[in-house]
Amino acid sequence: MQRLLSVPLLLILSLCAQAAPAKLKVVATIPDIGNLVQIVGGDKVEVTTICSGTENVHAVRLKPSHIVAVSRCDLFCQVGLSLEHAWVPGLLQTARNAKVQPGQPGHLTVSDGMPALDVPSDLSRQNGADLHPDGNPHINLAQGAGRHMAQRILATLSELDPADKALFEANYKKFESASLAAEARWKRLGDRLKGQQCVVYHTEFTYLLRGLGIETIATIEPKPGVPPTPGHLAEVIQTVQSAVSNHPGAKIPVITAAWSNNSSVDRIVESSPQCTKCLLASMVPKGKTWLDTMEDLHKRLAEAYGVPYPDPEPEAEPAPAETH
Amino acid sequence: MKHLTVPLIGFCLAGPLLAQGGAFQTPGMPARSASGQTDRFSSEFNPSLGGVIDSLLTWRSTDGSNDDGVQIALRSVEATMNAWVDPSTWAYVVVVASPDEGVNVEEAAVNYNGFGGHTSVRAGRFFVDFGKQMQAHEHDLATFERPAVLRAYLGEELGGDGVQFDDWFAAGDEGAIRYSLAIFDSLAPVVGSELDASTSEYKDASNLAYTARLTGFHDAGERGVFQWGLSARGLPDFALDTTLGNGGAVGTQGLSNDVYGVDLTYGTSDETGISGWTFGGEWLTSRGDLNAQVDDMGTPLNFADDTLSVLHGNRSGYYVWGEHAFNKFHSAGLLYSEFEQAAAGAPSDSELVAYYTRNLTEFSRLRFGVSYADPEDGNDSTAFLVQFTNFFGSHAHGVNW
Repeated sequence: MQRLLSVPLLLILSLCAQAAPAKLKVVATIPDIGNLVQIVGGDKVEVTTICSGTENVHAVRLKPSHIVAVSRCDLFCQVGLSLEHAWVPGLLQTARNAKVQPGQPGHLTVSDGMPALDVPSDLSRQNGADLHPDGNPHINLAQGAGRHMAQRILATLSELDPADKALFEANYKKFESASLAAEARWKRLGDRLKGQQCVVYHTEFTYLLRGLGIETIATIEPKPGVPPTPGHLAEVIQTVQSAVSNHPGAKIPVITAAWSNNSSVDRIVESSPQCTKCLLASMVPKGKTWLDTMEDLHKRLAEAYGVPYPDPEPEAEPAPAETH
Repeated sequence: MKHLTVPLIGFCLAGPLLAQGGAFQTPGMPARSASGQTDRFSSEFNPSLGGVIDSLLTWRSTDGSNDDGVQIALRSVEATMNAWVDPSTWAYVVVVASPDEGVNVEEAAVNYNGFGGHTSVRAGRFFVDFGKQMQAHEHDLATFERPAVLRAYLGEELGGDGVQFDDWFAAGDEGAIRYSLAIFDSLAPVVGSELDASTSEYKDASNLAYTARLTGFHDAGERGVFQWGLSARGLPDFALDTTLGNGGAVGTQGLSNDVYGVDLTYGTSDETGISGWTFGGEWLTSRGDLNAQVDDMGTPLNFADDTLSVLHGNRSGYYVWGEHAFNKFHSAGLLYSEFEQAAAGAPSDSELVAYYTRNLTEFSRLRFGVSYADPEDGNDSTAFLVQFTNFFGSHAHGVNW
């Protein structure tokens, strides 16, 4: 009797399994995009992220699991602006998934439509080894990038899975309101930081810094992707000392990432007591969200300049007279 | 009126040329594409172009030899072109000029990916898919030249005119297996420098040279990749000949040689992805007709009775290699290779290379090294090397993974 029942039971179970709607398989190049796809797609997507969040995004070592994931996915999402140009074209060519090749509905470049900064007018490599023809590619750290990337993701997910469009829109709305609140906070921080100065190692924080009105007075790399020479380091130190004499007491953080040549950064920091080393993440670290990461970056910058970080609620904002 | 006719016809013909529009074509002339894209100088349709200049300074010292000293050489100049031909096909050309070999089309191949799935077919002239290093051009290697065992059994560079089938499939979620099979018109074997190896111009299909490779890639932990591979190169029919002291020639035909290899590689990086370790090794065996020697039959002054004495047998060798990348600008490594020579009972040769690579930028590289060769039947030699390699434009080859 038990055996008689088990056959129909297995059949019903297998039918139920088949009836469950398949999730969209999504591969994202960086965790920033992976997090936003998960937020917008909810339980309708299964996301694989290639970078873990700690790498230099220009030099990612691909693994076999990445090739397998791209070969099976429904949607491939990248930042674009040639941020991932060292490894994405080869990955797509090797994985041979026709659905996600450039130009197909399953290929999404989230930076499309966002105005890029520092678009080079001359593409000679005399202007740097890391020359990005369409502009600075580290657009994921722009204050408004979260909403822009999420909008692009919403449009693409809705196209690939129209049945769940309403759910994606609802998820996006929730993220949008959280992002707008955070952006308002960052804008108030920008009001406090506007006109401050900094030194950077590489240009990965350009969007973040300009969004806050912070001026970069020197770049430790003489040109993007070119390591500093002793002569150039001496010039940077001279620039810093000149800024220090013009603004006595002003803080000048030297902003860098984990993979930069931080012995050069240390030399600049040691050149003046007004300089401090400020190590920032240029991608979302593992287990964090894009909003968490941006919040953390802004808090670190506020700390580096010694200004109070704005409270979460605008109503709780102290009067300007009390803060200064 | 007649005097106006000639200029008028000339003007009508010159119009399209000045506009670079559709070319005037007389019947029977080669027809270009209807869209006119092949005769316009639009940058959208130009292939990506690249170049490499590879120079080497060598200071060599050989025990008991007067042939010591410094050499500064432009080792090679390479020009490359890469482009999609259509949505399913891409092609590349690699032309290399070197002082030793003149100007050569080292690779010129078309890859067709239009079958769907992961299958591709490459046709033209290309480097063999054998082990981890034979597909790469010399200037792209981690060391100054290929390990001694590869140079001895396969050659400094090994390419041929042929067709290759290539495919891969997933092995679970964290692994992939790739295989390839190729046939070539000829893959000249490596033999003694005084001998020329050749194959007949037209041959039975069973006498075509071939390569085969099976390789697997697997995630090894969060930041590591492990690769294994099996390779084969078969040469069913070739001939050897050489010029004698009197200007005459001696040769032998109907020879065959097979080389098989096993390779293992492991690479891991730190959390930034720019610092890490790579370890690898490859074991090879060469079987069949390995080389030949001129046998003067005990009459060194009489060339008429000279013959070629072919050396047969199985010989094996290996190399092991380790490299540490400190960051994207500095790396250092060590490579050791040892192999049995062709002559029966001859002692093994070995070579040890230590090197430091300084990437000035992504496109400019300085490499310093020392190489110590210990041929058991010859004099030890030490070489200090400085390699300066510069890449301009885009740089790509048809290298498989």
